[in-house]
Amino acid sequence: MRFFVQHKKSEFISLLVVLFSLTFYLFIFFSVLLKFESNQFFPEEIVLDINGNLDEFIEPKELTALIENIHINLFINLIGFLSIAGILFRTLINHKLKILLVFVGFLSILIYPLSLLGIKFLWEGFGYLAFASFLLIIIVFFVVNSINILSFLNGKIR
Amino acid sequence: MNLLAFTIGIFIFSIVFQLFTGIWLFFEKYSINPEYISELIRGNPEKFINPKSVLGILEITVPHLLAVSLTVFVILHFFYFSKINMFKIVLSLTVFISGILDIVSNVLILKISPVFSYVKVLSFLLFEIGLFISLVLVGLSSYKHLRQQNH
Repeated sequence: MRFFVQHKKSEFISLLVVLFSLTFYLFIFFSVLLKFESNQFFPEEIVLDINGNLDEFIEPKELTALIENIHINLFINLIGFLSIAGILFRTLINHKLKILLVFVGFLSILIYPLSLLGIKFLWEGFGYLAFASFLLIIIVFFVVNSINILSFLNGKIR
Repeated sequence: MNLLAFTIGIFIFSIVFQLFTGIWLFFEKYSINPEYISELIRGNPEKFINPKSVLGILEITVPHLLAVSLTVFVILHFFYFSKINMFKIVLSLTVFISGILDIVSNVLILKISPVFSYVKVLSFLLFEIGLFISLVLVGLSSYKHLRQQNH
């Protein structure tokens, strides 16, 4: 048994990566659910949440609350994506595809909070950009995580 | 002093402190009584306890899912640098699964059944004990490694 376990030592890391990636699916699912529940998923909802509507007695979000929200979400998304991107670089998929996924991922993570500020200070149309960038974040997270799990389960790693 | 050993030592100490505050917070908030946990989350009109909202629970669940899984991953990956036996593999699985169950059980208590409050207590205890044992093992193997290097 001991030989068997030592022989499979490198597979211990694969086990950890698979466990982490499965948890990351839960994180993706609950992140989307949170946006739905807090009425911040669709463009109109995002704009209403930030700018409010005095006719419907909905107060606009305070700048401090908005920045607090951005501050926490940006950190969570960045550290989460950094982790799965780090794992992605160990897989054997096409290098250009890796670069593309990482570039699109980080770009959408940055665009999302900027578009929220855009809604507050510039134009309501940024609601569509916020919606699109959040969708892109979720899609990239899902794709990268799936590549990681499949690669580590099939042993297609460096 | 070896910089790596110092860094790992400080990291382990900080995570132990984090564990301690986590246990403290759990007892302050929920106690260890499953019925009380269920009442706090699902509400109890007789005791004028309002049920928790899905939004409130999700706001806690989402950041914790990432933070716990990342922290556990970082701690457990140190096992790679020492001998891995079946105990460490079972311990790793236990810590990961109990940590996630502990976080997700709030949603399950609210949306599915109060029975999950028992799962919450059990998974919380398993997670805290398992993570503490993991930290001790990582600390001991780092210390042994450092001593071997010095001799």
